[in-house]
Amino acid sequence: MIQLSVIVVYLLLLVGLGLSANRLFRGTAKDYMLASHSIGPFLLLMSLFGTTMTAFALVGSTGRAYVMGAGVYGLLGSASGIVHSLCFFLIGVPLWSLGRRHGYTTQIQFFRDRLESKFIGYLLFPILVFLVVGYLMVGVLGGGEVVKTVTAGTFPGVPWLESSGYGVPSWLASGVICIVVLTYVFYGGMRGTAWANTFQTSVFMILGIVTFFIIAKAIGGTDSLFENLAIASKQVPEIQLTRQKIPKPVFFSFLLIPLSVGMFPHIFQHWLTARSANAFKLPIVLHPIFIMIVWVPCVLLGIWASGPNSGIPQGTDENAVLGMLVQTHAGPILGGLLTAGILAAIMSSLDSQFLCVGTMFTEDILLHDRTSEQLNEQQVVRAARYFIIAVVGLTYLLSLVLPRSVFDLGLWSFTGFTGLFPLVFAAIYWRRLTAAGAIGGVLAVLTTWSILFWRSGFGSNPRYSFPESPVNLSIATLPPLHPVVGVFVASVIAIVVISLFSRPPSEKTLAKFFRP
Amino acid sequence: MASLARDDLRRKEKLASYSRQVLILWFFVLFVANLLYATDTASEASYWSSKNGFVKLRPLLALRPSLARQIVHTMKYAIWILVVLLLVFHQDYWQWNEATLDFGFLPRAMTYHVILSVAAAGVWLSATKYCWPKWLDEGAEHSTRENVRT
Repeated sequence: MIQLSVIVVYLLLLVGLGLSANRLFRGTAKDYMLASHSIGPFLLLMSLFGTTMTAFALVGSTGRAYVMGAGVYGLLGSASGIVHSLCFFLIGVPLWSLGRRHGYTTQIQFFRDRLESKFIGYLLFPILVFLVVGYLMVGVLGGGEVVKTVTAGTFPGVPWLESSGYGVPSWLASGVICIVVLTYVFYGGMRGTAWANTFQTSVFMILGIVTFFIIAKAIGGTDSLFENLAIASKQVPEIQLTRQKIPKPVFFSFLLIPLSVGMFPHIFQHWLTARSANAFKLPIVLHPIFIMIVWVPCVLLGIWASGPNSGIPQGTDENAVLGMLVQTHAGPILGGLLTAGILAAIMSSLDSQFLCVGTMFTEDILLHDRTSEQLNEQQVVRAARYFIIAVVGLTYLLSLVLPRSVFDLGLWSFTGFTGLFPLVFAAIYWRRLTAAGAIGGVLAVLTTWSILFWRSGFGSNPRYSFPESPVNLSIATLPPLHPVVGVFVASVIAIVVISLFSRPPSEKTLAKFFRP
Repeated sequence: MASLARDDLRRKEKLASYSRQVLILWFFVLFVANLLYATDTASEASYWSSKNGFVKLRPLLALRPSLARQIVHTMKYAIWILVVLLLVFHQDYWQWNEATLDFGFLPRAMTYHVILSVAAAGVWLSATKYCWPKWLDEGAEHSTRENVRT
């Protein structure tokens, strides 16, 4: 019960933060969606980092390390450290500049302008929302699972809670998390989201480190920190310390996954909140270090959980590993605080995603082709809120009927965004990109992603690779790779080939987007 | 006894070798810092203060401004080469089955990638210094358009 109370207090605190941000709300759509471009380097660092660190990074990385061993850090942690900053530098900074110069709020506005095509917006909108829903499911599922595991046994004897181990059922926890995030997003807008992200990022980084040391002490059982760490690592089966469970070609293909950050619509919106281009410098430099601070303890906890002294039974569901470690090794108050830290990471991504789908709906669909006289600012904000509720409701229902591994669900969503990365890269750096090439690229991504997702049993086969078996080419053998490679290559080929065979953009448009 | 003395000698030689390497590296850092200092007269007073010892060395090491500018220009390429190297070194297949625990607790597969993360932060720090598009802030004035329609 104490754990549950601590979690409830934390959630109320967040709602309070959103209400405080509402007092500074200027009443305009621009302030609601972009915080009036007022975010400085520190808030930008914390909000970008908090947004990219989701249930995937905490619950997913711990669970996957429990299954696959220490290689999970190299697989996505260090790769993200390099590639995310690369995306901030090569994509984020130029897009911020173009966004400020031409008044963009969403990615689709940029693509419509750059490609002189309205249709690209109508094509991209449902695809982006669909991929964001997949990403949202990671947070909704992860949050519910953690609360259920940690509160197990809180209500003994309540018959309808038997299936959830007499704790808070995951469907209820997921629902409450959605409502809390919706509340502070609705009241605080982008400013509230940036504040909540900064607060929550600090909370999960500090409590994450605390969790790590407490569990190390519980497994090690001595007073010496280094001895505890050594004991915890030495009880792990040797194969978990190596990368024998990860095929090398799959490790290589995972380098493409972090490119997805360049096409996340919620990250685009965060980029546009920056006060100046210089505000990007701090996030670019410190992002790899922050990822390291979060991922290293999570992966170590995951591999420790696979050892006999961890108290985690063999064959535990990977989504439940982190919650079980906290429940087994921390006291009730600390356990509650640590759970709040995990929820902080999850909610700091959900909020930005909620806000961005609302912004996309109003700016790219509702307001597109309308004059500003037809809808006032309040009506725009209200419409954004209704659409957010609809998307969150859909995500919530999908999370109930399509339970999947948090890690795999995240990977499929990232695969789609990575497939769209060549589009944004070409739009910024390739003058010859045409609307036909862009549309061809998006359709290539849609087709390859759908086929591969279907072939993987709708994400239920975590080891699905493409090609499905090695292909002998005349010069070499193509090994099975992560599906992201197939989607990415199809996208690049379609964009380049179709662009070269179609009419180039007008000189006026090129002059608007490229320096002479 | 003889083997102990041999070990001791080897340790001392190793230490001397490390010291030499550190000294050479320090001189290299001083040299590069002076070159950069010489190219950026605006930061003369603010950035490198004389207490760091750079100013005293400057007249001795500073090259012709054109050559120094060329070196800074080359730095841009060097940094992008470093980014590519980070991605290449990320694929550390040679230690795939390594189960060594560094510092007694950190699997080698993680230690290596932790170092890579720190190196990435260093490379990005250099990138923000030498490859930063300074014209961006000048070109991005507040737009009067609230929304964009095509």
